[in-house]
Amino acid sequence: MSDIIAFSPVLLAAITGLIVMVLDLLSGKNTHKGFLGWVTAVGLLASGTAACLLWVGGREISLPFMVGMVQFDTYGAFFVTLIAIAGAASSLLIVDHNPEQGIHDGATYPLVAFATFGAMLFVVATDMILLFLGLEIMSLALYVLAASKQTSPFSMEAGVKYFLLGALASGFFLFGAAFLYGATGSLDFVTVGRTIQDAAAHGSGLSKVALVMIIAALGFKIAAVPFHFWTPDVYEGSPTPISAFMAGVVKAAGFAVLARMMLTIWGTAEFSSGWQSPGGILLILAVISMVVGNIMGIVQDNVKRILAYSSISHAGYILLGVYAIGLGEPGAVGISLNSGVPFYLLTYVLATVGAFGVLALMGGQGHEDMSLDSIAGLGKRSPILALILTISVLSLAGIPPLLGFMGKFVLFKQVLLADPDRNWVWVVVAVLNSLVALYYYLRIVLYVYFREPEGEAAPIIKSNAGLFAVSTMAVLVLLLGVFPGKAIDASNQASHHAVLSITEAQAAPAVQQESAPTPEPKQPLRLRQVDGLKVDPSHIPIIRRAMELKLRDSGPKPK
Amino acid sequence: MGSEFLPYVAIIITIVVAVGIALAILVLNAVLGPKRPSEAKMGPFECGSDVVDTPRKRINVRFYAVAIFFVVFDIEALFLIPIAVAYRDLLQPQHLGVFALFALLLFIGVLAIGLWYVWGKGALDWAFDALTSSAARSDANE
Repeated sequence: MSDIIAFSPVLLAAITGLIVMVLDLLSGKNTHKGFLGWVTAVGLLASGTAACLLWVGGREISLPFMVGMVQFDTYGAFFVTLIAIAGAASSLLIVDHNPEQGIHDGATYPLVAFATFGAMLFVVATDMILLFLGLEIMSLALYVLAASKQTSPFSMEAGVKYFLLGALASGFFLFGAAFLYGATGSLDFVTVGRTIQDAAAHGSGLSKVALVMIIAALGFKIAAVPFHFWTPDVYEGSPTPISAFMAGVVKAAGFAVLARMMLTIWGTAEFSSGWQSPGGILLILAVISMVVGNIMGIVQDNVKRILAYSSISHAGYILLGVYAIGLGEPGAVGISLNSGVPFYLLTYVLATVGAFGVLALMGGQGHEDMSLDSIAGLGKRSPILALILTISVLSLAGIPPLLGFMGKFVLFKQVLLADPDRNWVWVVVAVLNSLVALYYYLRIVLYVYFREPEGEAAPIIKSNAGLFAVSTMAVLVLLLGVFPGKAIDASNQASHHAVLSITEAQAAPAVQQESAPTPEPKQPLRLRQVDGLKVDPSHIPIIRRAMELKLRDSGPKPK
Repeated sequence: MGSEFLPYVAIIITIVVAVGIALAILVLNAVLGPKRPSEAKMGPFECGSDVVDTPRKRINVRFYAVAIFFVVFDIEALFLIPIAVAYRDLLQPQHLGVFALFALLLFIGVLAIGLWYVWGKGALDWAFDALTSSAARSDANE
């Protein structure tokens, strides 16, 4: 029973999806489906609230459950809440955006709920199989959502591009997981990490191949250069609320999993030493993501593409945070996630959902073109939307007193503190990049307030739901920017649990679960325990180096 | 490259030899083989009968929908069979007890909602729909 309570936030998102599906069916074909967006938002917010309640009252939430496949700790709670907020905001944006764009099908809302559910599962999973399930539930729903404006060739293109590249990334992830299983004989993060860190397998080819493949797969989800090519096209072509969802939810979930996997599996004290260490790869990705994202952002004329490149450069800043591991915090091997990372993701998600949200509210009468020219003069046509867009964009740029400034400040400070002698170079690079980024962010503000549209201006949608969503984002950006204390505390707590602790998981089998009097009978159900590895005896000497521990424990079956 | 990659050298050699033989046969055939093309030889093979239609046709997209529904319920059966085999044991109080039944019903229930949804959206009416639309098309042709 405690399993179900601790899993309730994730379950609530799934139940929301089912309820919305049934309501869609019961409400008939010719009704306005907007109320489904409210139901979805309420359900997802309930899920986020449950996560917060578990966090506040949580005594047992940090224990692994579901046969050790899920760990709902403060890290999970932080990201589940963030994902729930972004998902709810996206579903509210759809309410009036879709009918104006000629999408009358109610299937969008359950898909948003299921994608959010998948992202939550993705974040709380500690086992490769469940992680992959979450990844696919999230991705499959999003492939459909990206193509949900069936009359638009751009939306179709976005859907196909996202699907092809997403399937490729999933393949990479599976290959990485398979190599890790081959190297360690386990699918569980903690066991994999312990085996790799204990054994000589740390330097072995198998685990390095796995590292590269998993970075490639998750790099696709977080849109880090050089896995970013889909991002501008897909963000531009998808219906704008879906772009908001992808830029917010998928990136937060991807980073949550990336940080947790990297630090749990490869997180030794040498994590960020040298170019060939796991952290070194992340550092290279971070620097080229920042530079490419910002330089390409300068030459764009389409606001959605600008925001896409902005999201790429933000991926660079956050990767820098994942690279610079925290010091002196309680963690598995004496390292912990840089506490600036969850906080920066919070600042980024709120601002980017707000910015895309305003664009979604400018897609009236089937208008798709979001060029700078078509948003020109927004300040006169709708002062409130212009203000919200300005707040969001300036927060992304990192202007005080908005939340984005605090995010950058905390993140860069933590990166610097992690290793002052070497990291100051990267902090300088990041700050210079933020300055470059200011150009295209201010260009949006310039067009909104000081230019008149030359061609057709984007028609504004009158939408209470959408306005509620974007103004909530803007208010949060302002309020948390002025009073960031609680949010920083929360992300500090969250980052302490990012590295799954070995001691906790070793204690895990001793945890009594109500449904099973003894944990032993459940053990054979776990994939990693199945003694099904048929090894050709002549290969044993070669494989042994990689699988030393496992073979010694169980012994190969005689043929 | 660590020594753990050594066994794969044999695989690579196998791949190279296999591809090489296949390529060699193709090349030898192209170089040495006599070529006397005729219309019957160049046509696509259709079990001796004359070619009636092009194989590159558009297939109704609903075939894919039906294939997906089939997979869903295929997987349902796939999951239910092991539960059915172990069901008597699962019902024992030291295992799951009555919860096993509820878990089973929950699983089937979620799929039932899916079936209901698919049905309600009219995705299962495809045969009838195709008939009427083809009838309408032949009417239009006449």
